Amino acid sequence: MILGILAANSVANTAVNIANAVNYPFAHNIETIVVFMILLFTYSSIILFLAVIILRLRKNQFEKRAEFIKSSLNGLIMGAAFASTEDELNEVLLQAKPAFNKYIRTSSQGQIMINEVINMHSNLAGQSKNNLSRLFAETCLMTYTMRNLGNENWHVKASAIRALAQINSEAHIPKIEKYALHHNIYLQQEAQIALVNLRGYDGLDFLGKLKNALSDWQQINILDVLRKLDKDKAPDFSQWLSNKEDTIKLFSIRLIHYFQQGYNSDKLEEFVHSENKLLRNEAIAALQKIKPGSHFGSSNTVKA
Amino acid sequence: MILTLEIIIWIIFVFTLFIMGSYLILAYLSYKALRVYFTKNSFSDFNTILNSPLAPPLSVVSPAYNESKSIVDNVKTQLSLHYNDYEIILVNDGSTDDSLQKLITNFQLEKKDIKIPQHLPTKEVLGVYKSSNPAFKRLVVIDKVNGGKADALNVGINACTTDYVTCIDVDCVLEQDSLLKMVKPFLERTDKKRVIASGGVVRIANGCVIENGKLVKVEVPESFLPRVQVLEYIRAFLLGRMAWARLDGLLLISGAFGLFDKDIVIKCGGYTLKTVSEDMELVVRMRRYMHENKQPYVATYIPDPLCWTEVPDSYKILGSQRSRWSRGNVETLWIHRKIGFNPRYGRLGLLSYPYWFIFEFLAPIIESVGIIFTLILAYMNLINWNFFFLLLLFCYTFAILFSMIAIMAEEETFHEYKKMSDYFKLIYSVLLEPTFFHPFITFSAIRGYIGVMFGQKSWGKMTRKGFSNKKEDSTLAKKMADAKPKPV
Repeated sequence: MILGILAANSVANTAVNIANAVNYPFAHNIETIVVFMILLFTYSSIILFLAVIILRLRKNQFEKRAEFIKSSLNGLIMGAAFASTEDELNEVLLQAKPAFNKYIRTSSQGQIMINEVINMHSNLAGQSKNNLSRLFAETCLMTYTMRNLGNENWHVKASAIRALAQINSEAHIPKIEKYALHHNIYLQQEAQIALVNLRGYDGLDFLGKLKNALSDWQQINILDVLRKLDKDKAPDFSQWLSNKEDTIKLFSIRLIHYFQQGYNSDKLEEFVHSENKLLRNEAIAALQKIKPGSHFGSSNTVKA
Repeated sequence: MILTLEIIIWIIFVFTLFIMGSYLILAYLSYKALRVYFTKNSFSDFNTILNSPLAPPLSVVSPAYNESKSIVDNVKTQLSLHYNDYEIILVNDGSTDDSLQKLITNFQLEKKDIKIPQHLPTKEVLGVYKSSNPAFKRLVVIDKVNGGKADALNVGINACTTDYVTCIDVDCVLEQDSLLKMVKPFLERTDKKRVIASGGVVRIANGCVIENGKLVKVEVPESFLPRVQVLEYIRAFLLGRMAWARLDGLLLISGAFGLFDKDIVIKCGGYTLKTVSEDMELVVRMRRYMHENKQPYVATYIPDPLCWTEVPDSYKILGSQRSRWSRGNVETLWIHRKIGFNPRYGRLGLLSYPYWFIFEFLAPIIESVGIIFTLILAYMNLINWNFFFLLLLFCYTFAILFSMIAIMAEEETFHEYKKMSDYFKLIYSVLLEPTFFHPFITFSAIRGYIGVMFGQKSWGKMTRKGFSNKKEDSTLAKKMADAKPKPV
């Protein structure tokens, strides 16, 4: 921490000398400067002190408002989710549109309800899931999401992409696709995950066009989505083994391993002597799993 | 005579302005880094790692010495961490109490004939224990001859079977998702830079409610000393380390909680026994190794409060701790003096080392010189007292401002202290800290430097209350909260 009082003594001594004994050009003004700085520090501290209190009050107010909105709209969300007939759903949607407009006044409130609907959406299945997608699409939640998608900030844009993917909005695939190779790595990653979410295995097309590395984190996220798909419909993942980017080759090997594509073992054997240690280890581990009887040493890699 | 005094005083004056300026710059950089971190992670679902077959296996290494009273709970806490594939390597560093027996009984351990590779030279290993109960299959207990914390950590590193190793203090309380968050920086690089280490924020557990090894309620400590240290830790971890990580100049990852690339740790020779600040020394050595071998690398830092530790609540223990830290600081700077001001080491040599040398090592010396000069000048009747108090106020108000910036940063980010009364308690500490706490810390640092001059090597004695608020004694070397905030 700051030198504090002890240093202050030293500084004070300096000032004494400046003031009493030295003829430096700024010596006569130093007192004014110091007073100004003291006032600046003091006022800044008071402002920060008050800012924290205001911040807390605003947070409380926001949370209360959020709770109020949630409780006000919860009945409609539940009604839509569990509507058993088309007519019943239409009736709920008719009430939901003005109600959502009435209660949601800001984008942050909109985000709260977007998250609320998405959370419920992810916990449901079948018709209820579709109903919630319709509720999302036909209320102001979609308006807020599209507004976020057009936002200049990448993280706002990325949150919109995530929302569209989670709500299964296939209509927006073309809009999401253009971000799959975006120069902003985070936006790119979100779009790639969204595409796999929305298009299943076909969403992996971007792998063939990707020019940058695919991080382990991104591989984990994509695999997390792929694991929920039908394994039998998985494409031949060896198509990306010849990619120029080593991380994409690595991901392909991992996918071949995880999806147990034994017919690709010959292609994997080419990597057993790869100069890239990661590729080598991953290929050996995959071969040991998908081609029983192969002995290439040991490695710790994907656990299928 | 007057001219000499004047020159020295000017040096101190300029030094003070520099240090103030550097703090403000660091605070600004931290603010930017925190924003980036929060934006990036606002949509990270860490549970994805939890279930992924691609998540790298980890080892959690913790040394223990005479931890009998809490060791079983501590291991249970470690066993309940959220991570799919990890092993816990607990190294019993020749405890003289019944720590090992308690572990054997509670976790149904059996001595196994397992040979530990000697990547790093260590004291003799007496036995390796694994549980016969599948519920504790992650746990490996190694019993060894007493050799100190660094030696115990090296044994743990030798024994771990994974590529990444987390070194923690056994008595720290980890957040359950701490491993998930710590491993992410290792997974998300898309450039050629290798992540060699990742540090986590350590927060103060005094005053918090901890049940069954889990933190259930966060509160500001009631007593003054731990409460001031709360401020100090927030400043150091949230404003200091975050900025240094952004500058790629991080020199210290707390021994209480850090995740390392095992390969590099071993290539560097592991923890050294030559210093009492083995955590800082290791990070400096790892960075030095990467520079000397021209390997692109990065040491990262996670601002989330992931690890909670108890801090001293008496001046005696605090003084001993800070004295040891300053000794460790000097020892590390001396061991790695080659990198100081050396352009070959890039920012490490031209920014981090000089900063540490000038603002961390020299600061207590300059402050002490300052007070001596004050006395001399007062004796010579050369002090303009009005101006003296004006400048005193100048420093004091700056100290307040900097602490307020830290509180604001905490408030805007993690907002751990939710009660308004906690906020006012912190403000009270902000006002008092420069008058009591800081001079004491400076005095302790000077004691540490004197200790180095006289070849002091011991870690001193430590008394801790423990999370259950029961008094317990142990040797500082193996038990003390070693989180090391190292004031910004």
